[in-house]
Amino acid sequence: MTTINELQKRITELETELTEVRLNAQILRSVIDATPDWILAKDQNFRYLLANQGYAEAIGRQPSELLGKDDLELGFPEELVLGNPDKKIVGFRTDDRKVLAGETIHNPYDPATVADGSLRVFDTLKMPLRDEAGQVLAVLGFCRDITEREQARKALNQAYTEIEQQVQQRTAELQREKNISDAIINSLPGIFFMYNAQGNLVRCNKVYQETFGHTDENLPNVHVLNSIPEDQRNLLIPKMQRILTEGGQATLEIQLKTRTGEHTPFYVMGQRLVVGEELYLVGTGIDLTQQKRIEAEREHLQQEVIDAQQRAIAELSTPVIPIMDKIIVMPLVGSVDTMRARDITRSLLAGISAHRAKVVILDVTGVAIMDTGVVNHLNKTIQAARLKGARTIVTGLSDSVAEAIVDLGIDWSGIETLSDLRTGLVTALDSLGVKLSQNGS
Amino acid sequence: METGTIQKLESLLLISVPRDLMDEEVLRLRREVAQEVRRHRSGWVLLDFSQVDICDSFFGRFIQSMADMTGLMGAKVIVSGLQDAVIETLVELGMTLPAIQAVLDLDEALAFSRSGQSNGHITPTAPLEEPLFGLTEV
Repeated sequence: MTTINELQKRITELETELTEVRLNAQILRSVIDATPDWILAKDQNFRYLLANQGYAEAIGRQPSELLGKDDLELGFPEELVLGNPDKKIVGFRTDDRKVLAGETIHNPYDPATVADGSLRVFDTLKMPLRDEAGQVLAVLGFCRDITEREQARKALNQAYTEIEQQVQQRTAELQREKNISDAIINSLPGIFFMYNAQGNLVRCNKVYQETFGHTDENLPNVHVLNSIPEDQRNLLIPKMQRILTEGGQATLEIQLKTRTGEHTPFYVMGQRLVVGEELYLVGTGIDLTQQKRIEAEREHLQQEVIDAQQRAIAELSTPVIPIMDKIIVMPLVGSVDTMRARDITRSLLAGISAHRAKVVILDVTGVAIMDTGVVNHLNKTIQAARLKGARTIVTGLSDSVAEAIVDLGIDWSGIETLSDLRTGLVTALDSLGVKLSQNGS
Repeated sequence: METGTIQKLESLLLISVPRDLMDEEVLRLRREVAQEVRRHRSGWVLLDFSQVDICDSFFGRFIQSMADMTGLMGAKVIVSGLQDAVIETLVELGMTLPAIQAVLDLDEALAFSRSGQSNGHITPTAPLEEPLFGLTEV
């Protein structure tokens, strides 16, 4: 009796356990059906032992329909199941066999056609399902649909490639631009410079490098003050600061310290360059040494020519002729203006000193116009000669000039005039106490 | 400061005017000349300017006033050795010193004072010692 009771008790226990197991199975079933991944298991004859909702739906069936059937029976194309070496399709079964042999296969990129005919990509993991003794019972498969992920990845890859191409293209463009600008700044006859707001050299041309003797290596360490002599800084630094803060441009002539340490004149043009937030000072400069030298030479030559001409003119226009001891004659020709009058006076004073003259005969036969100005000039000349101790006699006033003088009312007093040079000479000799005998005896 | 040397030569009082005379030194020199003229009863005052190479209007008035002053004391002024630049300035300033006899240098000044001429023109009564260029004197 006890046996029956025990059995009944045992049955009750088992029923309770069964209920629990069913519950667990149900929970498990719900879990595997809830996941969008495919979960499946095939026995050694490749028949389905397990298929979750996701998988069954993907091939257009109910999970229960799959149990006990193989892939071919479920309508998968033969080449997908058994493989087709021509199309490089391995086939489900080949994989399944390997797994049954104890291998685990992970295929992260496994394209497959699903029930609605669309091509999906799967990350497939197939592993052997073993019993307690370690014998392989079945193939357990997990497939995760990674089509979207793959698409996203592909799109990302493509975008990345495109960006890379654009970057390369842009880099090439920039390089081309740099080559062009390099060619431009290197073709300048003078120096080119670009300093940042701290005064460090950012860019320059070959002429700059040569002029200031910078090698490629020390270019990054070059500062604007390197080339500006101390005595020019007070002038230049405020100017540069003003350009940087206010913009605009400036041109000026300055001395720069070149490679040899010499101060060389430069004509420099500078302006502000704004790149984003950064301020730069860019500009060019031309070495004026050559130009200055040529200018100086030309000026010198010009001055020499002018001097020579003036000397020639002065000598020609104000000749002092010593005709006898203590008597000099100065014939005036042409117009008498202020400059000329000064030359005449100087020349006459020098003549008086040189010849120790006591009488000067100023012959104005060649003076075409005699007006107040000329008379004033002559008066001054005569006074100057007097202060040098010489008496002046003016000769050679033509009758028309005499008429003009009277008509114009010019004050002629104080000037001793005689008609011609001959009379003047006689008077001069007379005043020196020498008498000329008229008959030549 | 040296204000110039004043020397008596025969009836002539020779004053060598130094260069770079300050205005007050000019006035002192003028006073000294007046005193010397009175002392020596000189007939001629000879101002030698050969060392002077700078001239201004004050200096020009100095010469003029010296002449006026010595004239009042019965002496005449001869100016000698005026340099070209000084003459140019004087003329430009309009100071032509009309009452003053000017001569080239000290030699001429001595010859002039010896000849005893007192008018402005160089018309020596005494004939020159040698005929000029062999021209005959009359």
